[in-house]
Order: sequence, then structure tokens, then C-alpha cells
Amino acid sequence: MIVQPIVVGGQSALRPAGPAARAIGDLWDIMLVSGTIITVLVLVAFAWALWHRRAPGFTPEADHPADARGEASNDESGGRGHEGIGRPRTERQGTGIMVGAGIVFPTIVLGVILVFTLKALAAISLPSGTVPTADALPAPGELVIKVTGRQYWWQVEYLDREPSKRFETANELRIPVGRTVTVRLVSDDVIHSFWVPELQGKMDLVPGRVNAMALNASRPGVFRGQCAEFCGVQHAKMAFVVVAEPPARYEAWAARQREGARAVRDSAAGADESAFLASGCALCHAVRGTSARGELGPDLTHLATRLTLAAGTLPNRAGHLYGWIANPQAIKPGSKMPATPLSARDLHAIARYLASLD
Amino acid sequence: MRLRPGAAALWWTMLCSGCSAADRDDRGAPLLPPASTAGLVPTGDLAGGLDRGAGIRSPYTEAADQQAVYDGEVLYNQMNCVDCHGYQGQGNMCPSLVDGEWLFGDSPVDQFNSVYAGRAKGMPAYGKLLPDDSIWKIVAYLEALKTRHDKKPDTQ
Amino acid sequence: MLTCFALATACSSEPDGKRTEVRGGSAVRATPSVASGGAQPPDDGQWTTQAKTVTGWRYSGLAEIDTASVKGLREAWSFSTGTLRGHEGAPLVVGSTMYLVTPFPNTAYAIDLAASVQPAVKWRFDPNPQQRAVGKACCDVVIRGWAYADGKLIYNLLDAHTVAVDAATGKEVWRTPMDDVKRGATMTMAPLVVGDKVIVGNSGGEMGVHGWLAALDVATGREVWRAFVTGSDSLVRLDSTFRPYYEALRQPNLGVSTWPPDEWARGGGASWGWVTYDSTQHLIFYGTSNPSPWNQEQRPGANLFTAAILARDPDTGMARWAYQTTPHDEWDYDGVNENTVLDLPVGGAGQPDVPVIVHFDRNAFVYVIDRRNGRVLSATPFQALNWADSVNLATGLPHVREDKRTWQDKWTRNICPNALGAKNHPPTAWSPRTRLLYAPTMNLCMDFKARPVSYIAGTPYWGAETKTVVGPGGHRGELLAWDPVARRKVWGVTEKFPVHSGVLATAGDVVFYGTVEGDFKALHARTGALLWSKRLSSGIIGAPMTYRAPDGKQYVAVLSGIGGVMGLFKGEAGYPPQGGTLHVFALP
Repeated sequence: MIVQPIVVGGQSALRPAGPAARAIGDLWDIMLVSGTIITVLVLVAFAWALWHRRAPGFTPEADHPADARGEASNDESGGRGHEGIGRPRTERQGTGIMVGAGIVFPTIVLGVILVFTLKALAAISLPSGTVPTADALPAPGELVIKVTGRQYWWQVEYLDREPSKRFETANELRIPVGRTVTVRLVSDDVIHSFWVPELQGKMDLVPGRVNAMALNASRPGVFRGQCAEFCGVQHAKMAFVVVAEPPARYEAWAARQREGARAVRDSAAGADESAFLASGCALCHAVRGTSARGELGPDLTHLATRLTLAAGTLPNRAGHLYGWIANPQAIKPGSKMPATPLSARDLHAIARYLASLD
Repeated sequence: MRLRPGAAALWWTMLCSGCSAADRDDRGAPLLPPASTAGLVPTGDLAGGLDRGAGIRSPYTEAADQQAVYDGEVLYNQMNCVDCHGYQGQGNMCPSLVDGEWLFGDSPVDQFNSVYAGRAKGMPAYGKLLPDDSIWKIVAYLEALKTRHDKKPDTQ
Repeated sequence: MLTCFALATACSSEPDGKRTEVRGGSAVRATPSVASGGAQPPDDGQWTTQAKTVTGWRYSGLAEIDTASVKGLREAWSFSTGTLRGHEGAPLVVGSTMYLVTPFPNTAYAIDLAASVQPAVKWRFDPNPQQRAVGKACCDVVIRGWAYADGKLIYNLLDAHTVAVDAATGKEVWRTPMDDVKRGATMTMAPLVVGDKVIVGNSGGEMGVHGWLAALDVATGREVWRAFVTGSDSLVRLDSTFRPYYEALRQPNLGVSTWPPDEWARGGGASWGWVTYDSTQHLIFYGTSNPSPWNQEQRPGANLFTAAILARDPDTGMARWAYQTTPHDEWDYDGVNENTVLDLPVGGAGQPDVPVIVHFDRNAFVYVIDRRNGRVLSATPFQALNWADSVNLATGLPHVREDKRTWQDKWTRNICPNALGAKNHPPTAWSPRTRLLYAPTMNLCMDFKARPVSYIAGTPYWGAETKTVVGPGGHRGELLAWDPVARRKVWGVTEKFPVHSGVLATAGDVVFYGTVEGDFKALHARTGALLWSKRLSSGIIGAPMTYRAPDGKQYVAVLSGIGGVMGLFKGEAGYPPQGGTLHVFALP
């Protein structure tokens, strides 16, 4: 049984939600329209070429230019012959059409499209030389998100000039509407590519390099993205979402993310937390506010606030969470999360605990 | 113990308010995270009572299963074996795994049990936290480390 | 735990504004005048605290063994401790009894010096600490010293307990659990007694512990205060009396804001080194370890208050000032080395002597710091260093070299000094006669690659691979005689291995120290000339001391037993076998 990843949010490049995607969309429109027109013209020309008959009374001699000076029959001048008089009229016409329609016209059209392309590239790219080291402090007022591509999930870190205000989440970016956010892209292992079509073009995450792109959403919404560079067996299930929210709601979300997990309120919740910490989960995962500080898997501190599980593979609902914890290899075989041995009671406790992490 | 009444009241108020959700002091800065005993990888007991016994077998051998050796290397790094036993298994805080001297037996089953059950002088017990398969991969990697060391003893 | 902590701090506050003077206590001897070299009171021939004085001098007024007579020194008796790990620390002599404690399992011995045949063991105490502590000790299962106060021998067990033993009978008086060994915390440091309190700290900067320094009541072992190294101001015990000299250290809650969220709780900063005390300021001085983990990319920020020197009121634990010797440490340059309390003429011509501490740091700078406010008066390189160019005295910040910073998954080559430092914890000695400090130093460099590391409680939170190479010159150690006023080396004796023993200075103008190979040496304090040397049964990483026995003669004692971080050189030519012996020397 193949588990198809779910689709949360829009993922169509034809529905741009931000200036960068709009620039790409506009360029696409220009190319589509001009391409369509040219294709139609070419087809019309092709059809004409297929069915056009020669004019009645066409003779090869009539096709040649007139021998006004009688050189063709003048043996004494050395006999230039028919070949020397000049190229046939049809040949000259044909050459003219080819040069005009095949070289000059495309050059002009492509040159115009090139100009539009360069303008679009400038619109979607950050100024060259922008990319610092991945952990360089953001400029005052700059919102910087560092995304690390790992097989097969996205580590998302919100940087801050004050280290204690940094926070980490996974597989989900939230940005304020209307504000340009700098996303720094690094990879932990192989080449991935970050692509959220409704907001921006693709940008690779290359090991050993820091790339950067600007994200700007002009309307609120949920925008799905996915890995766009084959990175291994579960490349197809390495998706993420970008959620654009009004600035006030974004700030509230960020403030909550900065805090650690809530302290347990009662003994049942305490037992759930203990089950989580005593299991192998804490070897790989972190929950801020507890002693779990694994660095190998996604940060789970506010797991319940996320829209999806397992990098866009499953909806974030209790049943799916149980299934994922119990046997991740059945859902995403080849992913790095092993099926740890858990009793039924521990599984319930851990899933309850994680579902409570809001 | 001498407390002004106001100070005492302040302290008790602070204590009671501090018991609720956010663990912060009176200036809003976070206090220590809760120190539950869960979340600690337990260490082995003296009697080795958690050992799995002698009847188990590794599904991997170093020669035949290079993927298992690679996975074992990844686990050896990620489970923090490296900082105790050394990046080439040569030992650091903890005994060398490549010098041929084994305190608790040198067979793969003995090595599995040491990782599974932990040992009395501080070796953590990973048995409840990792699937058996992962531990066998670590054992396969240890075999590879020994082979590597024998070919080229490190000069560190 | 929160309740206990809150009540403890409430009870120790002083609502009536009067500072309690520290009086009495047999451990606080009248300290020799720190002002000048002359007019020292006559030496009582005892050695009641690890450094002989709480100011950390390691200087004895006994002069029977001097530059002329030391060549006749021979071993008078020896005593096997029964253990084979690294033997650090110095024996204590109180009255006519000598006290020493072995490395794990931390057995304590009392030796009656008045008996006719030596050694005469008066009693032996076996505390049976938990074995699991052995696997949590980064740097061998050492104990770096023990203390005597109020008729009790007080010392720390490797499994993070502090124990007090009746000095007359050898029976346990109290034992206080101080930290959780399951989280990787151990204790190795030498406690310091100040008045009616004993000051202790934890170890575990490589295990992601939460570093702290605490004071216990000498009579009962009850915890009086505990000051953490990271965390909010209330955990670090900072209030309005905290007056660091440097502006950057005056913000609130720096122990939280200079760390990513929650990382301060596993930030290291263990206080595993020496504590010294100044009775005129009524302050204790101590340093804190490196931040956890070694991989600096996992903890952006200055990481206060790790790799720093702090001054605290010993009665309340409130900090008076702090100075961070290596902000955002990337090389394991712990700040735990001793702070020797001195008054030096560094205030300019015609000015009175300035009350300072002198601190030889791991990072190869020797700091002269005004001990009233933590202002750095000078920071001078004393060994090869290239991680920084200099220290800016206006801001207190080192000018770090970008090409010697360390990064995850990338090698940085040839960083000097290496992670063990230009000088590690083996302590210096001061001679008020020569006005020189005698420092055991190391000349090592390293390649460093940081690695990502998860915090798994009880396992190392370390994250770095290093390779050690010898520093420039080819010698790996040097016994330095340093003039802290002129800020220069006066003489030095190089060694093949790092010098990793404590140093003893005497009024006979003799300086004693030991080498990794096991040579116990006596040098002329003014010239460094080798006056006497004896090869002992194992390497020397402990501190020598001297005392006057009941028979009236002067004896010099040192422990041999290689280990500690010198185990790095095991297998090399000249590296001795393990051992565990107390050697006592005298003139015939």
C-alpha cells in the first residue's frame, strides 16, 4: 500500500500570492502568449507550405531573373550559363523569409523575452553578495529564517540578534503578510531544493553552501511547498507548508514558539511526559522546557500547532500520530526514524503527550 | 531564620504563583526546567541483570553488510558513543574499543549486551531505547573499527 | 526543590543590612601580610589547607631545606595509597597528623607523624562512592584536594557528595548529596573552608551539567547557599550588590539572554577548580569551566557566566563582580585556574599597592585583575597563543582571530594553545621573597573540528574532535618564573612533557615541582638552576607540600601516580607506568 502525501494549502504557480511569484507568473504569461502566437503562426505557415500550389504558368525559366543583357546565350563572354545569372526568384524569396522569420524575428522576440526574464530574475532574487554565513546575526528589523534540508524533513530555525529569542520548528514556516522574509538555505546531507510555487521560484540547498531567497506573501493563506531536487528514497514525501498570517497573529505565534513546552498540570500529564522522556524519543527529538534535547530529528516543542506530520505526509491528527510513532517505516520507508519498541501503554502516553504540545 | 513578614508573604506568593504553568522567577526570567528523573539514559547495574543472555545472534557481519556498518557508524556518532569512546574507538573518557582488551567479553553477543544493559561503571543502557537491530548495527561497526585499527594503529 | 531553594535563599538574606563578619574557625589562620614580602609571621610548620593559605600562595616559611642543603635531600618514608589512577592534590598536615585522600574510590587516610616508625596509619575511611561515577569523569577519576576544618576532614566524592570525617576517629560525620551523577555530574575539586562554611563546586563541563558553586555549613553539612553559573539572576545569585567593572556585564539575566532558549540549563560552567579568599574584601574568587557543548555553533551568544572569574561574598553567595576571560569559548579554555591573592605595585609610580588577583588562564593570557571590582589591569601572553591577538583593556574583550575560530564539520588547524590550555589546574606558587610566581605551563597546539551533538543526559555533551601537536620550540612543558609586575618571564625550565604538577615555594629559596616522567625536582627560586632531582616510581601530577614534623625536621611530601589528562601521552617513550605512592623527603 502506498501512502500518498496529503495536500494542505495551494501549490499552483498559476495562483501567485506574492510579488516574486507574480513576477514569475507574469513572465510565464508573456512566454505563454507569445509562444502560442508564434506556434500558431508556424503551424499556419506549415499548413500553407503543405497545401500551397504553385501559381499556374510557373516555369523554372520564368522563375529566373530576366536575361536582359543576353548573357545566357552569349558564348563569347565565357558562358556564364544559367547558374551565373542569379538565384531564382523563389529561392531569393525563400531565403529572405528564412532570414527574416527565422533569425531576425526570433532574435527580436527572444531579446524582448530576455529583458523580461532578467527583470523577473531581479525581482525574485536577493542582491548578489547578500549571503553571509548561515548563522550570521540578522540586521536590526530583519526577519531571517534558516532552513536546513535533511533527509527527509525541513529544520526551520528563526534567528534573532538575541540568542535567547531564537526558536526552532520543523516542516512549517509562518511569515507575516506583506513583509519580506529572508530564508537562508543550507543542507545537512545531500542537495535538496526549496520550492513553494505560490510564493517563489526554486532554490537549491547545497551542502557546504549557504543560499538565500526572499519570501513575501501579499495575502494570508496556506501555501504548500516541496523538495524539488531528488534527494533519496523519500524525496516524494518531503513537503512543507508556508503559512502567511496577519502580523499580529504571526507575532502571537512567534511568542508562543519562543516559550518552552508548558509545565505539566497534573499527574496524568506528568506520566505522559515521563513516558516520552524515558523512551528512545528523547535521543533524537527535542522538546524545549524538558530534558529532551536530541538534535537528530524535528523539534517537537509545539507539535500540536503544526498542520502536518512527517513533512507534509500526514494530517496532524491523533490517529495519524499514533500510526506514525508506532511504525514510521510503514508510512515512509527509508526515512530516518526507526520503529522503536514501545508497549501499547507507552504508545498511548507518548502520543497523548505529543498531541498536547501546543 | 529571621524573615520580615512582608518578605515572607512575598516569598510564599511567589512560590504559589510559580507553581502554575510558566516556571519563571519574579522578574520573568525562566527557572530551571523540571528535573524529572525520566529522560536519563539509565546506567547498567552491578549484576548485569538486564543482559539479554547468550542465545541471540547478530543478523549482520562486518564483511558482508557494509550498509549495516555505515548505519552503525551513524548511530555510534549520534548516540554520543564518540565523545566517550573516541572518534576512532581509541578511547577517551571511556575504555578503548579497539585495543583488544574487553572487560565484559569480546564476542558480538557480549558487546550487544554491554550496549543493551549498560555496565556498572557508568556505561548507559540503551536497550529500552533502541531497537535490537540498531544495536547489532553498532556492534558491526565496532568490528569494522577494530579492523581499521589493526591495519593502521592510530598514533594519537 | 523550588520550595527548598526559595526558603534557603530567603533565610540567608540579611534584612537588617548588617554584614556578618566571619570570625573564628580553626581553618582560617591569620593570613600572612599580602602587602609586601617582608615581615611574614613565623611559619607554624603545618599545612592546613591545600595552598597553605587561603590566598593561594603555596609558600612555606620553613628554611631548613635551602639552596645549599637541598642537594642532600633523600626519601625518608613512603606510603602506597592502594590505588593506581591519577594522584592530584597535596597532603595536609594539621598538628602531628597528615591527611590524604586517594583517587576513586576516595579512601581517606590519617597518618600519625608522631609515631616512631613511619608511615603509621591512624585510621582509614572508605566512603564507597557509586561506581557509575567512574564513567562520567572526563579526565580520570581524580580528586584535586581536601580540606580540614573544625576537627573534620572534608572532601568531595566522585559521585557528587561532600563528606566530612571526624579527624580523630575516622568516622563519617555527615555526607551531603550535591548533584546527580546520573546526569553526568561529578565532583573533583578541593573544597575551601571560609569561616564556618566550606565552599564546593561540581565538575562536568563535558557532560552538559548545570555548573554551580555552593557553601555548606562545616558543622552539619547543610547547604547554606548555591550559586549557579548560568540561568536567571536569582539562580546566579546576582542582585544590586553585583558591580562588575565592564558595562557589558551589567545587563539583567545575562545567564539566560546570552544562550539559545534552555541551553543555559545544560551550559556547563562547572566550578571544578580552585577557590581562594581575601579577608580584606571578604570575597572568594573562583573560575568556571567551558560552556557545553564544545561545538560553539550549537550555542550562539556570549554564554555567560562560563569561562569566567567570579567574586562572591562567602556568607551569602551573592556575586560582587565577574569577568569573562573567554567569551563564547570555542576552544575549551576553562576559567577555573587559581586566582592568587596579592597586593602588587601596579598602580603607577608612587601609588600604593593595588589589591589584585593574578590568574594564569587556560587561554595563555595571565591576567592581573583588581580584586575589588574585576577590572583587568593587564593581560599578557605567557605561552604561545594565536586564537587572539590581545585583550582590549577598555572593554575586557579579547580580540579573537577569525582564522582560529572553530566550526562544525570543518578542521581548524594549529590553534595555540590546545584544549588543555597553556596552563591547566595544577597550581602556581608565589614567593614573597623573590616576588615571582612559579607556574607549571604547557606548550601544545591543536587541530579542532566541532561535531553536532545531541544532549542525552548522562552521556557526553561534547561534540568535538581534536588532534594535539607540540607547540613552537618542540618542548611540551615549561616551569615558568613570572614577574607579575614587570609582566615577563624571568626564567623558565623546559620539559619534554607538559608540566602538570603543582608547585611549592619555600623561604629557603627552593622551588619544587614534578614531571610526567616522575622526576621530583628542586630549583633555585631566583635562577632556575636545578639543585636536586629524584626519579619517583610514577609520574607526578599532584602538588608538593612541606611541613615540620614532631621531630622538628622539615619534610617535603608529594604524591606520585600518573593519570589525569596526561593520559593523552600514554604509550610514548618516557611515559611512566601507573602508580599511587606518597613520597616524603628530608635532609639526613
